[in-house]
Amino acid sequence: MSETVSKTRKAAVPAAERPAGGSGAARAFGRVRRRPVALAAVVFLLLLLAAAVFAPLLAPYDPREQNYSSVLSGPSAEHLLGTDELGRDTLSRLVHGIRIALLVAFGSVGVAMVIGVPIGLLLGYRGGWWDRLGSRALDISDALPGLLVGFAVIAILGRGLLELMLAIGFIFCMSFARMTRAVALAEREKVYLDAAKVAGLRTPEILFRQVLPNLTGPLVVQAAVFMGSAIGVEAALSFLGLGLDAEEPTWGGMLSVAADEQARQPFLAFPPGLAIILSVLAFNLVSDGISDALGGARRKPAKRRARLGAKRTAEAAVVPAEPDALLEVRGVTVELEPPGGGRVPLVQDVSLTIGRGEVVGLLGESGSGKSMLARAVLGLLPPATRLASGTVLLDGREITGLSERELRAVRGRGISVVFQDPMTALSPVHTIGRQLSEPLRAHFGMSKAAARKRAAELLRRVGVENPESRLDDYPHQFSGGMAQRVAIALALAAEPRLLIADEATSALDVTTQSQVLDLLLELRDEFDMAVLLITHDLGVVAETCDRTAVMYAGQIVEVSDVRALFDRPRHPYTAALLAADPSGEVTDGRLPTIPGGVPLAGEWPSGCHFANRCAFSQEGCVAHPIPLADQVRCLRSADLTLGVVK
Amino acid sequence: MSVSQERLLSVRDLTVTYESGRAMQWRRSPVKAIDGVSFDVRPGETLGLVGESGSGKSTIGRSILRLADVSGGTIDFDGLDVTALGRRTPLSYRRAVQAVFQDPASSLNPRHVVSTAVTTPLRRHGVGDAAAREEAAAAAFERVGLSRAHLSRLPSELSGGQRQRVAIARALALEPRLIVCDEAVSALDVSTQSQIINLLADLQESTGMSYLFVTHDLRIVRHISHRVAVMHAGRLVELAPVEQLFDSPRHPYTRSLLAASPATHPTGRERRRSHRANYRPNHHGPEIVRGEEGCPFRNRCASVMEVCRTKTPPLRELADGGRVACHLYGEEGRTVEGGPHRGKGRGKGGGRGSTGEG
Repeated sequence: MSETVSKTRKAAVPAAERPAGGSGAARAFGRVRRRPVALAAVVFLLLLLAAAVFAPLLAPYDPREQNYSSVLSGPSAEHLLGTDELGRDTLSRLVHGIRIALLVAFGSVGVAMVIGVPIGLLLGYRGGWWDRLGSRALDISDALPGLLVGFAVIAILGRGLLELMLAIGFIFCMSFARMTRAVALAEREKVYLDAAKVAGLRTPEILFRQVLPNLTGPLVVQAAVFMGSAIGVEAALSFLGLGLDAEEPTWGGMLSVAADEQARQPFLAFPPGLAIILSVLAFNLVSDGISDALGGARRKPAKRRARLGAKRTAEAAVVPAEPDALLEVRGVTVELEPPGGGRVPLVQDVSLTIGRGEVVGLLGESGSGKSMLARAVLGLLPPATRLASGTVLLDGREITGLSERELRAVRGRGISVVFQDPMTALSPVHTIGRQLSEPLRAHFGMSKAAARKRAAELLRRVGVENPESRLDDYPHQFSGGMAQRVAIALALAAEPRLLIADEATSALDVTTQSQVLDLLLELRDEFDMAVLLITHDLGVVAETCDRTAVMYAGQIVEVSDVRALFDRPRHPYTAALLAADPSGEVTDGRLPTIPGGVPLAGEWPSGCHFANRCAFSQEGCVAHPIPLADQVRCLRSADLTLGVVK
Repeated sequence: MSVSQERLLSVRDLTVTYESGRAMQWRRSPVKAIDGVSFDVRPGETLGLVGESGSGKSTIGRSILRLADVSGGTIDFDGLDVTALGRRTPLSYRRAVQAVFQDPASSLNPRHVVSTAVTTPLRRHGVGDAAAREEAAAAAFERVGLSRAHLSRLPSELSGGQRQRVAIARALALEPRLIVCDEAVSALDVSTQSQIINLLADLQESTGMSYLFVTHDLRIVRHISHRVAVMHAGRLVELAPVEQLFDSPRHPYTRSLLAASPATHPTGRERRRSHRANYRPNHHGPEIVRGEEGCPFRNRCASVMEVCRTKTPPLRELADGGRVACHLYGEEGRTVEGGPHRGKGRGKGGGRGSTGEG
């Protein structure tokens, strides 16, 4: 589902706004620019950098020049920020201190990356014993206090700028190693690395050219944070007298002097203190900004109100419910409201009726909007999407616009749902027995013992062996097929009148799939339960459904009895899909194909959505929206005789 | 497509074992993921390798690609015993054997423009200079139905089908003699699947390369394969030319797979459904019996006999050239040549001969 949303969201951005072929970094920089706080921090750091470069020009005095005639003076016209105990100009020392602060920040983070990143890459990519021993070593080094490590390095190497960078670099390198390892571990599973190995690439090439580019984002963020910290650590070491020589203008050294002289000149602490606070803050804000920018636009949680705000079409209010219909979907349109503004339709004007005990298929390729329609029916639309118009009636009662509380009652006993991944329905921390008992007790007021007994019956009904003992098992103890059976048992617990199966068997092996589909049909026979079977698989439709609606690019293009659909498809898309099915009979030569691909949401034409891929399209097809007439959305349905040519 | 009778790839008694159990445990027991599998791939041939999840089909592909460690048997590629090689794989082998993987989302580096997927292997194999490699990438893209405009896109800017075309272009650019297609079309939509299957068939026709087409979906191999091998529980249970496998499947497991595959037309589905209900074997015990003597499929087999519990059936070659690992076709079960119709152990052995018509 989220994939659909992100796909459509991308489509929603007008092509002109997307930098054509631009790199990810350029796009991320564009997003940083739109964040005023991060931008201010960037500007501050750039000013700092300029000040460091041009320090001799900016500083009014030599930072080392002593002047015993004005010692410990406060701010004055001569010395804007006053002087220290040797009469040195504070402003000059502050400005020259920027050089050392930035040098140490960049240098130490550079050292940390040079040491940490290769270690992390190696541990994460090699895995196994390398990783087990290596990460223990990382844990141990993490337990050492950072400053102590710094003391040790300086004690061994002595004082100096380079030594300071090394000391601080050592403190940070393990964090870089740890982060690199985590990313490398995740990337190791990706198939493109297998492809790189199959191409014959050597391990260093794979590590530095294939894995490392995925790290640039997190590394840049981490580096910005640590540059801030490095300034703090440098100040601390200099304050303790372990940094540079006292003669050198460093912010930490200035603080140290201020501490000694605070009784005589309290103002001394302010300039270096503020400089440290502001620069650390700026580095952190920049890292936040980069992190946000790399993560893309933040999702705004959808307002509940928006979902309820469906316009009711005049028609819906007037037309009475069909007597035999269990579920009536009338003119449902779902729209995506991307953060940048605008509206992108995902489902357009869909109407569909499901009778009691009927198995209706909803057939469509990815991006057709079939799952979004199911979510609209369930009142479970994802964030940033809303029901723009249309109504859904269950047993003649309108269920659009109900409160969350009322919907909960509808969802259990009225409509229930099974998704492709059973683990989305099952809680990993509770036993199956407890999860099955809960709806039974809530909907039927059963006692604990009665609910447990009924739960065991349900499990047996869906084909789980030894149901009584398996009630105490957790979801992860079931195989994929068995977990899907448990999810179905959960969906059936409240005895719903309609079960929506959204690609419920797509991830299962064929043997298990046929068992689960047979089970759904048995349950239909037994309880007169209706099923809306959402699938991309023609075979599943052929084996299971009574009636089928075919969706293409957000619209229903054809609704038909299942036999008629396979024998006499009326929409060119249906006919082309049937012909292209690779599971068809063996033919000499090639499979018939549909040229091109399904258009993304936001790029749908105003006329027939299929026209540009259709072998039968005419001028009139692209001019105006095509209505669904006599259950088929095609201008030429009357004069076309479509067969499945095999 | 002409298929010669020579061998390009010969896999003999391939065994792959995994250490099971938790990583930090001292004692771990090896589990056989692949148990003594043998087959050949001929030049210009597509061999379909079919099995359900956990059957070991992908592991075979990964062993051939040297992505999984082999614990026994040999893989002979055109006279080179791949299992005897050290840690380094000769570049000539890397060039000759390429792969197309399932997941179009992760088979390309998300940080690289897609032309890099083609140019990087070419650079490693020392083909031309940078400009020549870009040109080669453009040519490869054209062969798989992509345009020059696609070269500078990121994977996230392409559809699933387009990404799979890039993956094919990557494999193709090295002019391999064998491509291992591991679920190469399984994640694609129906209409995209047929496009990619046609593309693979066209490329085979023009280059004469071979495919090992690994998939869980029996229906897909039908169009593309010359022969099909069926895997169950790490063992090869049946290998036959494609028409023979679909028209007269031998092994009860192959038959149950075909019976479970959804048909392409609703006609006869009530009969199929009642058939499945009537013949649903109601045996107890685990679905797959691993690690003991006897047939691993015996607990789910409709034609199970006494001998199936005590002796593992070997893969036998039948008179018509098909191969099957089932006692129905061995000395114990065979009464009529080539058919199980009067099995000794149980009378209903042949009752499911018609279930494969799907």
